Amino acid sequence: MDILLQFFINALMLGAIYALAAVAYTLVYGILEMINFAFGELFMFGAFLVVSFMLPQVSLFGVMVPMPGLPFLLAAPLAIFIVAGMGYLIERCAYRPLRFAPRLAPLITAIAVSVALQNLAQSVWGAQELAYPSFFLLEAKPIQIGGAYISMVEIAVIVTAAVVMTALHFYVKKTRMGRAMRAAAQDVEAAALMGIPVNRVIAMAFIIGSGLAALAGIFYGAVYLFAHPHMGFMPGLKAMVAAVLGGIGNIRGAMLGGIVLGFAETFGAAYLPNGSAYRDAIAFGILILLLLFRPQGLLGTRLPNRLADRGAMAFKGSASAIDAGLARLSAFFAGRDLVRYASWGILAVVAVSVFFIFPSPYWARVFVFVLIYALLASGLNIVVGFAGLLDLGFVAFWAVGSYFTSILFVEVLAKGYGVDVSSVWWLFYVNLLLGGGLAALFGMMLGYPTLRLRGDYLAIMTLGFGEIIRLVATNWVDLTRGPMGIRGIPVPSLFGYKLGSPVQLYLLGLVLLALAVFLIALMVRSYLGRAWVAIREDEAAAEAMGINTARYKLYAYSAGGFFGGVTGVFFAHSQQYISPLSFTLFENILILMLIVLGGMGTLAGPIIGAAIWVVFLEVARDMPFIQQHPELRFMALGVLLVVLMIFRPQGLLGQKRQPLMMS
Amino acid sequence: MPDQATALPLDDKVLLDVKGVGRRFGGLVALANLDVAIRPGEALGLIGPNGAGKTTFFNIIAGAIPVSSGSIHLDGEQISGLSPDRIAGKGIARTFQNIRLFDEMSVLENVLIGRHRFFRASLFGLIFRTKKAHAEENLSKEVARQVLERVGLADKMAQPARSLSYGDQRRLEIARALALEPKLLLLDEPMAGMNPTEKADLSRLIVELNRSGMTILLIEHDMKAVMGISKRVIVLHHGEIIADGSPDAVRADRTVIDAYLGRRG
Ligand SMILES: Nc1ncnc2c1ncn2[C@@H]1O[C@H](COP(=O)(O)OP(=O)(O)OP(=O)(O)O)[C@@H](O)[C@H]1O
Ligand SMILES: [Mg+2]
Repeated sequence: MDILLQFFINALMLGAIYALAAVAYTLVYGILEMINFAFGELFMFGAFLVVSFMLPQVSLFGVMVPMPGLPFLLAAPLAIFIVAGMGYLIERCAYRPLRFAPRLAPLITAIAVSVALQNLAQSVWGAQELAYPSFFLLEAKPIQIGGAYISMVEIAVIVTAAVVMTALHFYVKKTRMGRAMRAAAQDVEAAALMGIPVNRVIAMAFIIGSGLAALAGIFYGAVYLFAHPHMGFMPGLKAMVAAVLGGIGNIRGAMLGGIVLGFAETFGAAYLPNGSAYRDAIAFGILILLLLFRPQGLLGTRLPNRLADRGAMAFKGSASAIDAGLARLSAFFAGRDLVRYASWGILAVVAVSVFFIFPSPYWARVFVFVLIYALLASGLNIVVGFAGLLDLGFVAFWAVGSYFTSILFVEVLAKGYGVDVSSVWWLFYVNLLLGGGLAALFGMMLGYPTLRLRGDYLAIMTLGFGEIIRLVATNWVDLTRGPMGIRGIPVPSLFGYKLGSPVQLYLLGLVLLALAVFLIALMVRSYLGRAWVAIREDEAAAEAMGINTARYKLYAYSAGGFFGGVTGVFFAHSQQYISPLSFTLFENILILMLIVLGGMGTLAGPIIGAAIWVVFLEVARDMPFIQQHPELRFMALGVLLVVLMIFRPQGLLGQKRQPLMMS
Repeated sequence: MPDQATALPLDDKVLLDVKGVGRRFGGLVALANLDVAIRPGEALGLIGPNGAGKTTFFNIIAGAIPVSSGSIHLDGEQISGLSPDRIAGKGIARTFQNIRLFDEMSVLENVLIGRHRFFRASLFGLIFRTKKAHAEENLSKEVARQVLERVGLADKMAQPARSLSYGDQRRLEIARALALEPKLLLLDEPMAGMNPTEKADLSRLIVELNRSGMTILLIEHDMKAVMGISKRVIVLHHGEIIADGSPDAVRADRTVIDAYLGRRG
């Protein structure tokens, strides 16, 4: 009984924190129909700021800076105020210019903002945990109820959350601004026509939402006694799940969703078999079931994505002089195959010549990574760039390929049957196909439940799948060796001749990449590719023209999955070691960003994006300031992407359209 | 020439048979119990004031929104309840009132999407570029070129659809629908926003298509154009058919005049 009561209190406290952040997601989604991924990071900033203000001195960018040492009751409002201002700025600078852009643009931007903020925090405060200083709530004695203890912090969290939620409820119901918010949530365009200052309403939603996220972060930090650059990531995702659970856009739903999730997680971890290991998977499991059976959520009435008739990624050009010039130039070259073949030829020559000028095996290894990222990005590009489906679970396919071949070689053949793996060198090549095929199958399976979903919902559903696969890889120790990973994966070899040196691996990878691009080109330049792009451009029109959109989306998932799986097999054998740490959501986001960087929906874009990024990553390592703060590189990428989405959504190189016909 | 559509005996074959079709949006009755029989080779005009339910009727036929009641048969086969792509596959093509092209695809590629239902090549065929795969691609390209020729866009084939003028975009939508080789063509206000010359050209094209045997259902606000194209006109008002007959009869019908006047007065 006591333990039950204790769980109850913990669940309520956790639920209250989720609920606060979930309301942030729901407020913004209600009006803009966009998931502001950055709330997770604003949550983290809340915690960092409050800790910084309370301490006498803090190390910022590695320099000790004296701090005011404010009491908690002053530091917290100040932190919330600052984070709310950040939220306002983000909306103003990053999202507002994209308000009428195709629907993938704000989503990708939100992800990029999130990456930039997280890495900014890591540069400023460092990668270690910053401990919460003691303050009166922490010093107070816990209260005993029955056999359970409830600390003052927990009481403060629950009471404050209740008060804030009630206040928000009345704010939305009773004030002018609140009513305007509700009107805008009903229908932004109609609200604008009726004279509601939509821009101010949206700014207000971001300010309030960011403040709530900061408050949630402050509490979360106070409960677990730390602040860390990654602390907002999981709670942010879970708050998003809570918002969807309650019925996105519905404020009371978000509160309910948060509480329900708090209980499901606390009790699930306690009572489900192996529950504590899969604690984080519970939220994603709920999410997937929910989207399958009741996508409108517990209290919601609204089905996902009214705006589905906006194309996913059309680049309605800003008509600048430069664009006009470029358009004329590309019109001149359009259809001239010679130019296209020449540019591929140049790319190939560069790729091969790099091999001769490798100054060291170190650089050869760097270029193996260029190839691995290029392969992954090319696969994901089928799903995101061509079919217009935002997939945040793509790394799962990579993981499937990697684990498949590693388990087969190391666990089954070598350890299980004592086979000398060098005698079955050919199996690597077979596995490239089998691993790809298995991942393609996974693609179908994971894709199927998402068929009815579009845009943001699709993104979070695939994200849920990806996280679940990673958690399985981490926790199913008997199969995957868990966090320790699998060692001793044999390098690829050919008739007993080992291809283990970086340069040999580079050449092998180059062959794979060339094959992959060739295959993708063959698919894209046919009715298959046309169907994908048609779905991306206008799903309803594609259906009206006889395209079975569900089927072609599945094809896209499995084609993408195939290349993810192939890459996984190559990755495992070239690194000789895999662990769940490689297959994170962050990695997925990175791959996505590389595609956008180079140019979505083109064949060369993903390769160029990968090359630029991986090489930059290495070159920048030696730059003076970046040497101390390597995360700044990722922050720069995030900022660059936001700028790209606004000014040049077709990517750095802005290639011409990809032809979609057989030549 | 099958230009005597209305004179055909009533027991003649029916291409599209709409029986008791109704559709509500919440409390609003957008279509109330419609019965319409479209005979093969007909060019049927569908008119009515704004909000009468014309586009909804198209959406229902094309399967974009489900019926609330009633059924629709094409050539004796039930199509209500099928998904839009299945219905398109059975030979019903449509255009949209608010143009919906694939902006980033070229004009030719847009039209090729209309050919989608004719493609059979397997993944194997595509990857190895078999003769069959090439042949069907080339055939479709040829058809697409002819269709573009017909609507007067042959010289703009390589341009992205978004770069076309408004009138050209409307024509491209028609071309895309024609590429599907439909039994029934649904045109939703194809002349909206066109200038008089463009309208005249398009009228001529529609009449030609109809002469060559295509069944056409045309929504159009421009009365003169509708009357010139159609031998039979249906008037929809508040989701109900208030008149069905020859253009002259419809024009003289009291309820029709009231419906329009009531709207405007
Ligand atoms: N998806 C929908 N949800 C709710 N109401 C709808 C929907 N589609 C149409 N309606 C309503 O049904 C009625 C009929 O609309 P419809 O678009 O069919 O009219 P219309 O005859 O095509 O008009 P117009 O000449 O303006 O194009 C209108 O009142 C419209 O608001
Ligand atoms: Mg209409």
